[in-house]
Amino acid sequence: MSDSKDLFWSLLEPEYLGANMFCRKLIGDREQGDDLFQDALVAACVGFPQLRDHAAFRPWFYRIMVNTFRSQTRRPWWKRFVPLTSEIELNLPGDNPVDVLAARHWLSRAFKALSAEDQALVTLYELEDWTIAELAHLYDKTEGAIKLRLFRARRKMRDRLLSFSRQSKSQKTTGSPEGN
Amino acid sequence: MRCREAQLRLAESRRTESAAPADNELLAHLSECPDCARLAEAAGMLNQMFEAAAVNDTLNVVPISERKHTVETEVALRKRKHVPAATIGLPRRRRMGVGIAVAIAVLAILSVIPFGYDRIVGYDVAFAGVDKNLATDDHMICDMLFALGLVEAAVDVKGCDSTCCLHIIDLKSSNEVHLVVTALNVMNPDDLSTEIIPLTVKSSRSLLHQAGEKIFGARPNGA
Repeated sequence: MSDSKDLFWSLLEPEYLGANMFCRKLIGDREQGDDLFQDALVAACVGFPQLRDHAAFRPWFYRIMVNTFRSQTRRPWWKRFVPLTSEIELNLPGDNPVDVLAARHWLSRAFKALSAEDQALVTLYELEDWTIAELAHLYDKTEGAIKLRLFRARRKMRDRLLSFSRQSKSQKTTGSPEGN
Repeated sequence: MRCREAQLRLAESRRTESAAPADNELLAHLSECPDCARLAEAAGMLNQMFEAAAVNDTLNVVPISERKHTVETEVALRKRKHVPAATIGLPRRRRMGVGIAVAIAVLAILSVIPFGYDRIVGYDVAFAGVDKNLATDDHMICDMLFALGLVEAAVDVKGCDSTCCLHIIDLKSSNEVHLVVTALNVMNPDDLSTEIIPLTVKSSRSLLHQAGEKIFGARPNGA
């Protein structure tokens, strides 16, 4: 049992920082990302004895992180946060995505158009520089299928950004007092 | 250039250094087509966002040794939680499913098993301290019952001295009891002492049958 634990932590060590960063980027918030990382680590620690091929530790661990994230986003309606209305969101600071904070803010808006699985896929590909082959292995899909999912995800995000942009413009032209 | 082709070229030009693609034909199309120009702007914005958000935020990263301690403590705490023996080894989600299935099965079995109980089939109401004139006037009591629509109820008068004991027998429901008690209290000049006696029979029925009776009402042939 102790050997299994030691092996788990030794396999985790090279992935530790990258995995923690992945969780932070996926959630778009440092504290919540760390919480997600902790939950995923607990799940991985419990499930590690069932992993037969230790060479596949990396995709196995990332799969656990993605599943943990997905189960957190699938909370029942009474536990979900009430989303901000688009009017409130449009009045938040950071309309120009030039710095990291603003980019994360806009990214979290665009991510709302995607499922939890697709958010993880885009994060791994665009922010963590995973290759299509690695993603295909993680998601157990063909490379073509992964490319298609990425393309569709980008299109959904782009459309979401466009709709925000249209709302913002129409609000400015109607001269709402909050927008000024 | 058609919009479709322009959009394909835009998709290909992702992750270029600048948001605007270095394709003269495409640039010419974008300058003429506002829809495609908006798409190009959004695509460029998306690329900029990805580049900016890809920067690692390494502030306050918990060292692995510290993390190891907290994770192993949490794992140990989880193991100490009571888990039914039949569900050990199942994932948490499946364990909950098994629990719900067992609860439904138990409820289904309980609902069809008949069990004995005392079933109320009617009420007798005894009034003490009824005015003698009122109690002995059969017409007045019977008229009152008839007026209330209680044609099946019977009347019995006992132990008349200065006041009498009046029994109204065979009331079918608590509503009928309430009606009679209210009416007698109005008709009698003095306070009455009232005793309500439920009439029960031994019965044996399942929960399902009882629920059906409550919802659809008692069948005429039902005991």
